[in-house]
Amino acid sequence: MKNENSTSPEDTARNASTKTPVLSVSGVDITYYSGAVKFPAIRDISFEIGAGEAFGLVGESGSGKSTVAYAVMQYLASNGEIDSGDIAFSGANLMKMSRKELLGLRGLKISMVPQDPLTSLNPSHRVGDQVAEILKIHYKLNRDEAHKRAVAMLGQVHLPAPELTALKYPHQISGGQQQRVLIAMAFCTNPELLIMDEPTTGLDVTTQARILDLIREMKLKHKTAILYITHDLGVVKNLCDRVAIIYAGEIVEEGDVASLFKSPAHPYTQGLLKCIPKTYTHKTQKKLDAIEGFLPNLADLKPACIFAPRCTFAQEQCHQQAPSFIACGENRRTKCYFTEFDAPDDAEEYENLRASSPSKRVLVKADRLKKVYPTKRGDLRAVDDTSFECKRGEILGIVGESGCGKTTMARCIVGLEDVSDGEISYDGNKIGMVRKRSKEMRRKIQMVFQNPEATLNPQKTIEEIITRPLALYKIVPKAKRHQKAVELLETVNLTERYLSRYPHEISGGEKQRVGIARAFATEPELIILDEPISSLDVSVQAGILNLLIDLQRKHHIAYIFIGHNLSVIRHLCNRVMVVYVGRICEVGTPDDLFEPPYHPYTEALLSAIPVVEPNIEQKEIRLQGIMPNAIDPIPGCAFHTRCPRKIGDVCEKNAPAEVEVKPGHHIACHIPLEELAAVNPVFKYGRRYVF
Amino acid sequence: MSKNDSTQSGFKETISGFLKNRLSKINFTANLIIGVVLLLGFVFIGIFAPYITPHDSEEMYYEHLKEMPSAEFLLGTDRYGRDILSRVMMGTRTTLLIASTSTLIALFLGIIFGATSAYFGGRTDNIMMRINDIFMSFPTLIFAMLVIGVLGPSMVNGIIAIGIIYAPRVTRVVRSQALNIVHMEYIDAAKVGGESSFYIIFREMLPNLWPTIIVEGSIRLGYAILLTAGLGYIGLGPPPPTPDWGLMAYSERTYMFETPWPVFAPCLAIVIAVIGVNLFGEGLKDILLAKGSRKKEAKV
Amino acid sequence: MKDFIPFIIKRLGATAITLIAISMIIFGVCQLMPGDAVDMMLGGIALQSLGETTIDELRKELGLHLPVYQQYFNWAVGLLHGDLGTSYIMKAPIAPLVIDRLKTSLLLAFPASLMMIVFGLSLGILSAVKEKTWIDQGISFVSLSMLSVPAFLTGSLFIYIFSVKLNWIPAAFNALDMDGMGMFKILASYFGILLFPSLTLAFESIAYVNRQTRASMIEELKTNYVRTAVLKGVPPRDVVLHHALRNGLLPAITVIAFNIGQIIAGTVIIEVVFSYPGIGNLMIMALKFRDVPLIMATMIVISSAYVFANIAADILYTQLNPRIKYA
Repeated sequence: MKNENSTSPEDTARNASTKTPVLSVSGVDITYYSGAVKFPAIRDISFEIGAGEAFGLVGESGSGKSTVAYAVMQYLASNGEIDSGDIAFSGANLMKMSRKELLGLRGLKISMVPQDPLTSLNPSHRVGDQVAEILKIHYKLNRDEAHKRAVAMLGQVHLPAPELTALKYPHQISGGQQQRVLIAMAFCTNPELLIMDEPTTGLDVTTQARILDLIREMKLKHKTAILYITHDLGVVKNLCDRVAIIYAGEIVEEGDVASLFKSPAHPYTQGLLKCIPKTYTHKTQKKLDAIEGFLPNLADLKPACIFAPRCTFAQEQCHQQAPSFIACGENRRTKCYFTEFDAPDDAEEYENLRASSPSKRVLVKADRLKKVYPTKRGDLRAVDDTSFECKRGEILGIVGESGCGKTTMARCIVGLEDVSDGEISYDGNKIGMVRKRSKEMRRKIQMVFQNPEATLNPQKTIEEIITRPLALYKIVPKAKRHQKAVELLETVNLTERYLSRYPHEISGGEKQRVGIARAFATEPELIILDEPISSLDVSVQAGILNLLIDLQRKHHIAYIFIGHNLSVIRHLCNRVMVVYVGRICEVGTPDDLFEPPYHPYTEALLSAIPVVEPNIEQKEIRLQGIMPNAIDPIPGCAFHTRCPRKIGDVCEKNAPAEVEVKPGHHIACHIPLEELAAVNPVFKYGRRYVF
Repeated sequence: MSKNDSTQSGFKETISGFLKNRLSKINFTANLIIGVVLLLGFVFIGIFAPYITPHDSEEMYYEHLKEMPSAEFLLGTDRYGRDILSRVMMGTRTTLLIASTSTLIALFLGIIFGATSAYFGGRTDNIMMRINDIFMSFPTLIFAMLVIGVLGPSMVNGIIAIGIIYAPRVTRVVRSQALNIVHMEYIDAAKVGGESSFYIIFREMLPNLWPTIIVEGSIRLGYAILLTAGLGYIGLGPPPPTPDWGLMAYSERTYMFETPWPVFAPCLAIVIAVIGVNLFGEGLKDILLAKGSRKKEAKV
Repeated sequence: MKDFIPFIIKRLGATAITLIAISMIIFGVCQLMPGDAVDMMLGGIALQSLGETTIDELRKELGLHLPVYQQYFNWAVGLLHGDLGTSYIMKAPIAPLVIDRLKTSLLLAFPASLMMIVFGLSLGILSAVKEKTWIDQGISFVSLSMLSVPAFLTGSLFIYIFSVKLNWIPAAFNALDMDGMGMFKILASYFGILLFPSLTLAFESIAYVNRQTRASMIEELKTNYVRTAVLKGVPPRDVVLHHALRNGLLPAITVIAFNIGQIIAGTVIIEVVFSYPGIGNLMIMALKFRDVPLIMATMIVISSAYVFANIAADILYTQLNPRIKYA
């Protein structure tokens, strides 16, 4: 490949004197217009990315991180304008380029891997053709050559049977494979700069781990500079060389990954890191530190530190004048007046953070539960003959990847789905679908849902939403409903003034709080929480988790918490079930799960967690292949098709029985317990394992 | 939107972007305002026609046969010397009555069938949609002709025919929107909360369906006016002496060579009425069904 | 492809059920006609031709003494054999007449459908690509007007301008005699005689197709895969035609099919406006004289044409959309 640099004399001169960065963004301001209102979404952002460097840009939703990515691609929404600043690619100003010049650059020198792989591929074209198209455009290859190169490229990103995959349509391959196709598209022209916009968001952890491996591998092979946009600090720590933290359109801190994670300088960075439940902890746990408050309204900015309203260290001067960058170590800068904080360690410490002593009495029990959905190709066994129980006052976690049947289990318990076989009993009495249950029964089991945007009826006020269960179950007399609604809101840390609002007037985290208040309104004994925090920003997640723990301790009710994030589950739950393709792999306390013996699947899940804590070494186990679909019957252990520790025919033929490790800790695996116990732990503090 | 000389044109584009946004806003409301004004005008004329017509619509002025528009007869007279303006005004009443009543019937049936079908899903939904599809495989005009032709042309039969043939079409629209809602978590929340099916359909789902229903209703009303006029034109409208726009246009067409205005006057009324309804519908659509999400737009 | 044959068979099976249901509805509604056929015949034109046949015999001859389901069955079996019954007023088998008239109507409907597809799609794409410019607004305004004008006004205007004022075309088509004309002559006379009726017929449908195409193309142009294509360096023209149109076409096909049906049904009004001897005028005549067999025959023919247009679109849709597995 020929490397065409700009040939203008001044550029050559500059190249000679200093090494030109691949991408240099300096002083960029971007404004969005909505009617007459101006939103300065990006303000004075500067950074540089050198050849072969991976640069992470981390921010929460609304921080403007994607806007930066699309500004580099010169592909802003039509109501967005770059007001000032320069964006230069290898010394050439992208903003001064004509449309034709951009056409030649995009896909050849600068490539992009977008979020949401399914919608980013054309549903009506075969994936091979979509890769080949780039080669045809930029290298003028003919059909056959382009196809051949495309297939080779699909092989490079480790897609199984690339010749066959090339002929498939996007909907026929899994999410992880779709993302691989997009990565193949991005690398097939050997670009100098690659922009990745949350490429692993929405993928399961084990898939994410493999995609990140692939990106790392491709980066080394092609020596490509990468601008990596994400909200996930863990991913950045594992992938990038340098990182910038962006908040409300401003970079607040920048530095190399190792030192930034070790000693975050800006209060916002510190806050973000404290919000995340620790993957590797000692027995005592602290309450999480949520970042209180909201993003500032960009249409009405004041000359002050952008983070000051939410900053616990904010001084008078922070509210008067915006700070500028100061250096805080080698190649590091922070946009703050201070670099040293006496962090008061005032976080409330629980001796035992998790539910206070669950009782021995079983509250809900699923016995050989089975749920099949008839499909055209056969029955899909979403839940396959599983038995479990949840005790009074216990927080039971159900963890697994998408499609493992965890949500179906929850919906069966709450009565939204009819069970196909087996039975669910509550306090010893069999229960069926919700409309067949007694009113008293319905009152006792409530549910909090996953998607804050869909959990509240947009046409009802918060008051209508919260008082409805009060009226339906006659919890309080009519005259006291308003008062009770206010009390309920206060228990979820909201105030009376929310009562008259409509759901679209409040934030996602607040909607989840209202959903929780609604669930608590009937004074239930069991609440099913179906991934209630997974679509929220980490700083908001922390607040909801704290709230859930507080409420549980106060009311001493039982939770069944569905999740996919093992760190969150560990933080919250008394007992955890690991589920794979509708079957239970392992049950135990969180601490049991995090130490050997592990079920091989649990081990793989743990090893795929993107860890943020410094000085933790993590064993690398990668699951090959994809989760088998639950339609074709899987003989033997459900995990045998991907298990890295498969011992032989027995795994393929016989379903493993649950083996008791110790009371309450069971593993369903054929591998002898001693062997399972003998493995090295996945996490080790401050020491490196070589496998 | 080339990015050449971005610093210079940046300001200009800001202004033009601003104006564009402003203008498109005005445009939307203009649609709605014109629509509402026209619609209200027709409703007013429809209700008060007998009191405000300049002449008796049936009175034949034998000395004024087939006259051009004049101060006395603003839209001229027909071959019997009747005042065309008065007849068009009286015709408003017939058309609006048939079109709006049949639309309301179609909406009523469509809401009930569409929402229940979506809510219960499964087999219920399958059977209901099969039946719906069968009714939808009749062209509207043909079905209306069949019913009216067999039962005899009258206002009531017209209303029944149009109402029945539009109901499946409304059902389909309501159902497809209801299907989006039925999988929302707040519906699950209501089920978990122990609400009855009736409550969920009419108190949880219906309020979210109103925007769709209102827009669909205004679109239907436009179609219904055109269909009513078309039926009148082929002689299947209410029989004379009820004044009807379609029939007026048809019965005067033989004389179009000499005097075109008796044909075009009722046609013009139809066009204005339908444009009014359509503008109203478009305006409502922009307001009620506008998508909140700001999406990236292709720079192509 | 191996799934294709069973898929087609299934679809055709569903179509058969639909057609049976339609025939039942048509037959059922006709049973509601006040009075019975014989009264109508006796009171109507056919009076003289009755001769000495008694009323009872006539009823028997027509099969009206049979129970209703038997009558329906006889009629339906007749349909399957291509026997559409005998007209009361013309005392002649209906099938040849209806087929003849249908051909004449299709002479209008076919070019109208072509115009709808060509103009509807191209204007829709143009509108979407030029979204929010004056071109788009102009097209949108024109198509909104086209939707607001009843077909008989469009037709009347054409007649008034081109026949009355300019004297280019004959005002009425009663004289049109298809039988003696060869295909070439028909084509030759097309621009003189048939252009305006078929253009009138296409008018409303062009607007529908244009609006649907515009809406779905605008939607497609905002999708993530179009963004991917642009950022791959695909030239704008290919982004629109190769990427967006491929998907944007799908909803348009549904609307096109629906409108082919509307065009077939719409010939009724157009034929009245232009006094054109097609199946629509035949139907109106049948309704006027309450000739039940003829009413049922014309109705079933037009409805079937409509059903088949939709089936064809359904199959085309499935072929173009890889996401749909054959159901």
